[in-house]
Amino acid sequence: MSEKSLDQELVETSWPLKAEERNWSSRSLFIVLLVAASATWCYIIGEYVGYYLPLWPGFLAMTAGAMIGMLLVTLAVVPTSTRFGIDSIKSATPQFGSNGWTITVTLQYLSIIGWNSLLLIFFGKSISRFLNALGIGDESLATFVVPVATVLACVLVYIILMRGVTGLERVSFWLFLSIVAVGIWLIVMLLIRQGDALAAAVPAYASSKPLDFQYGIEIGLVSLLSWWPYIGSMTRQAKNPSIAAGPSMLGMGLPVPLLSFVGLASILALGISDPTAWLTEVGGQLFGALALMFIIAANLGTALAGLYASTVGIKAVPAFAKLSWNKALLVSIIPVALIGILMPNWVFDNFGTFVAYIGVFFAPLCGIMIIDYFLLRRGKISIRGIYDTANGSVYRYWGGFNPAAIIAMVVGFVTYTYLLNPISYAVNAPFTIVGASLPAALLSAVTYAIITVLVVKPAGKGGYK
Amino acid sequence: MPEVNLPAELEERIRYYENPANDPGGFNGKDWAVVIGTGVILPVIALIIGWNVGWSV
Repeated sequence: MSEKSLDQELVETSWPLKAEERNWSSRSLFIVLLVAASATWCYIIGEYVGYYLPLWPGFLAMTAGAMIGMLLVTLAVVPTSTRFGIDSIKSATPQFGSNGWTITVTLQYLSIIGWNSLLLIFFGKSISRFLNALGIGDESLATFVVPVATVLACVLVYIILMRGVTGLERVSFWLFLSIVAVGIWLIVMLLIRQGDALAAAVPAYASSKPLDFQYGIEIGLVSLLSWWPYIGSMTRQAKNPSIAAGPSMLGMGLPVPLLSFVGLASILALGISDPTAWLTEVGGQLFGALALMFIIAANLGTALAGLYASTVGIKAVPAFAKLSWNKALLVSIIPVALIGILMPNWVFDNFGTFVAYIGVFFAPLCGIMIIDYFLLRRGKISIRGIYDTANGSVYRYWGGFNPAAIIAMVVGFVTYTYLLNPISYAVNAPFTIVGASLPAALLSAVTYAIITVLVVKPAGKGGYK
Repeated sequence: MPEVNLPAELEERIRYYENPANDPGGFNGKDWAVVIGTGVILPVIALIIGWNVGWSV
């Protein structure tokens, strides 16, 4: 990463940014968050909700879940991140301890790798479908083209990011517009050509109203919990929480259900599980191919931004801090390439499992951070403690880990998986009433508070007053 | 608190935020209104309408 300014170098560290270095207004933060959230993964989120719910109940359940998820992420990260100009990982140090980054960075890494695999395999599928639209091969072409295109995309991303990210922000905005434009075009075409099918559509996995409705809420909720790793690196650029609160909720929360409406309507009207097929099915070969070109560019652009963020996150990890930029890039990209080669369909076919696992881990994480910041600490955080890793430092706890957070995470994991099996989507009562993420977050928070009050505070650990 | 040698630039940044005058504080009333309005009230309204929008399985 040559020719970077000092400001850019600082942004890429996990050190606190001073007020004068944080100059994003509410408007600019809103746009950045909007662009980051509005990727083609929204089509897939909507598609999954469409397996359980009709159009309007699906849209409203997904919207409710998404905004609740965004509430959890915002309350967990934004207050600390905007006060000190730090990212999500550092914001969780008071709860997890000075070595707790091993837990949060692992979650961040897996989450970002998962989402970027989704995008680049989507890219590969789009290339394959584009070739089909040009009359080259049939659907079986995907077996060969998807892995090859995914790997080529990874190589391309690597080459581009090796040379820096100049202009990426501007390009991202145009890619955002192209995703929205393709989405609007798809919706209009669906309404014109498939309006009756859409109105009469019965979701493929519909079983009972309360259960399906709760699935819709849960999918919306867990999808937004995956913003936990991303949001801190962006909201830290705002001078104070007031600048970030509205953009966080409306810029990063609301666009997801709005754009997911495209996937929801498409799966209901067309009944085809491959999003790349929707475009040619609805628009015909010519317009479908054009739309696919936009999608190909958009997926590549979003993956560029995501893998850049992932690499910055890796560089902030002490164990990887001394890696060169190019090697850190490889740590980000190689897993995506391997997934593209070894199991390209797994990511698409198991999207529901992937997002459920997001909920399994990030819901408890948010619950712990919220109760600790607002209730146990009353907003009192030691910025020195976040960076001081010496024995006896404020957030050193025991060996650098806070057992209250670890046990609370386990309680959240057990709670979630009891209520909703992430693999089979089998549920236990009271899932149909309360879902899985909210109880997992709540029970984790309560567990954390009890252990903190009974064990951690009396031991004089954690800097609690 | 034990003294450790942090990089000078990081040390300076920590001292900056240890000065209470540089702490921007937490959410104000308006922020809470936005967060609760969009994260609690909006979902409740969406759930009520979504449940009653006229569908059955």
